[in-house]
Amino acid sequence: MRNQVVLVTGGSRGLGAETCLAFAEAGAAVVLNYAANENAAGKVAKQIKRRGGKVLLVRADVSSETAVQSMIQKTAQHFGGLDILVNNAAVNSDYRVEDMNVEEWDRVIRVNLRGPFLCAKHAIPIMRKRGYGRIINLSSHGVRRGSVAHAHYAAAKLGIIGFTRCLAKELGKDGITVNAVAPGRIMTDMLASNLKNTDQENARRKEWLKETPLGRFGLPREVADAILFLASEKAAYITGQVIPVDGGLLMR
Amino acid sequence: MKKTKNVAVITGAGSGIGKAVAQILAARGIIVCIADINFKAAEEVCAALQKDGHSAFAWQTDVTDSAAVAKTFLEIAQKAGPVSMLITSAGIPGHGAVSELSDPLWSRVLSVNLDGVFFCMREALKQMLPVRRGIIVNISSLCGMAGCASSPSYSAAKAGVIGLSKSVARRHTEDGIRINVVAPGVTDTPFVEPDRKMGKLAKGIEKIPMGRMGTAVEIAEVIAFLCSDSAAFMTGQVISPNGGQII
Repeated sequence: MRNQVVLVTGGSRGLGAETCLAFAEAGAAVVLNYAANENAAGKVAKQIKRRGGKVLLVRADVSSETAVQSMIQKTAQHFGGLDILVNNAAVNSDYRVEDMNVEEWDRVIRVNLRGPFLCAKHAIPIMRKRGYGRIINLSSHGVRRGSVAHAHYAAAKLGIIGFTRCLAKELGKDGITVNAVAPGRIMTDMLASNLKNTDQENARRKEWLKETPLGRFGLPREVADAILFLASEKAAYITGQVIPVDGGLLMR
Repeated sequence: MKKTKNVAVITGAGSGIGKAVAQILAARGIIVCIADINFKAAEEVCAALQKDGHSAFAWQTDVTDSAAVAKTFLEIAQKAGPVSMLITSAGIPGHGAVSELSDPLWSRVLSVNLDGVFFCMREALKQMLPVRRGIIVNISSLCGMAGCASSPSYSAAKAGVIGLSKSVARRHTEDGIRINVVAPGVTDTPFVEPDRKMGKLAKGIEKIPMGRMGTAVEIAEVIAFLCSDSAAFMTGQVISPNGGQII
């Protein structure tokens, strides 16, 4: 991916960070967007630079149109263009619907759904000029079967699939593909720290592994690999699709 | 340390998508065994790969003949090594409305497109399961996922491939087998000649958001990705490179 520019939102940790590292390894110039965790973002950028990669850190709240416009402008100025957009930034929380404040509903929808819309909207003109682009949206396995206390998150993550399909049709003849990746249970640092060593959590972990034919959690790198493939020229005929990376958890 | 070798059997690799898959996998150092009913075509692909310094073998195989398939797989194990990858690309089109479809034509389409896949999987699994190592990619079709007005028999067979593949994924993923399906939309290979002759191709292509057919290489790259370690956490999936046809 030499001479290609990729913008990854939410790149300071987890899947986003791993995706940034993978793109940098492949030779792409990486724009690492983060919302607040400057420390973590800086560490990832340092890693990229140490390995000889190109990286630009941009702090921006993806749910703000002015912030997104500014971020994409900075990208174009610094690296000369934008080829690949990975809409990865997301937030979540645990609230059953009857306990959920409208502010919390809005917050999750804003970051997880409006954010990808804004980023795509402002990336498209640049991609169209080059006649080439890749937009990859992160969905989630949880949307398929529902997940208790995550109605806001699932609404956004399933909504992003509808968004993906529509946008794919809009951009069909522009050389820009739009797809979604739906990760299963991936062992990120966040998940590892959340899974405490209690009997209940251990039982839950066991149940999860039983449900996954591959019998293990996924690695962040395995999701990044799918993103990289979709972002490559090799995946030119795939658009409007949802690619599950979930160890066989869901087979549709 | 010696890297474990990979022996890939690709049916129908004398032409089209199968041929493109053979070329990509051979370039990765995988030993490719091209099994095609058209031996001349298989030999030509093989010769070209060998000329480039790759390991390739050709077999004449009718996938509808279960004894012939068993024989092929045994010979491959002897000549090239235990089979570690299977890509089923052998297939025939199946036009004809249900109300007018003859018994022999129905059977023929199911035989090549579904029985053939089953026979090859059975023989491949016999070699893969004992060593707990194997990757399978079966080729279905958008028709198999969504039905196809002109080709109900083909669609039935291709849908069958999906059910068969998912079942094997559910049963054997824990045994070290990783199996996925690629369901292309319209691909520019000799396979679509009948559609072209019937004058139906152009109209079909208009409906595709990308406004064009896929190329054999584009479909083959997806198959090759699923055969790679980059797809290690993917099993039981149906991936459809189809130019934006949402179904």
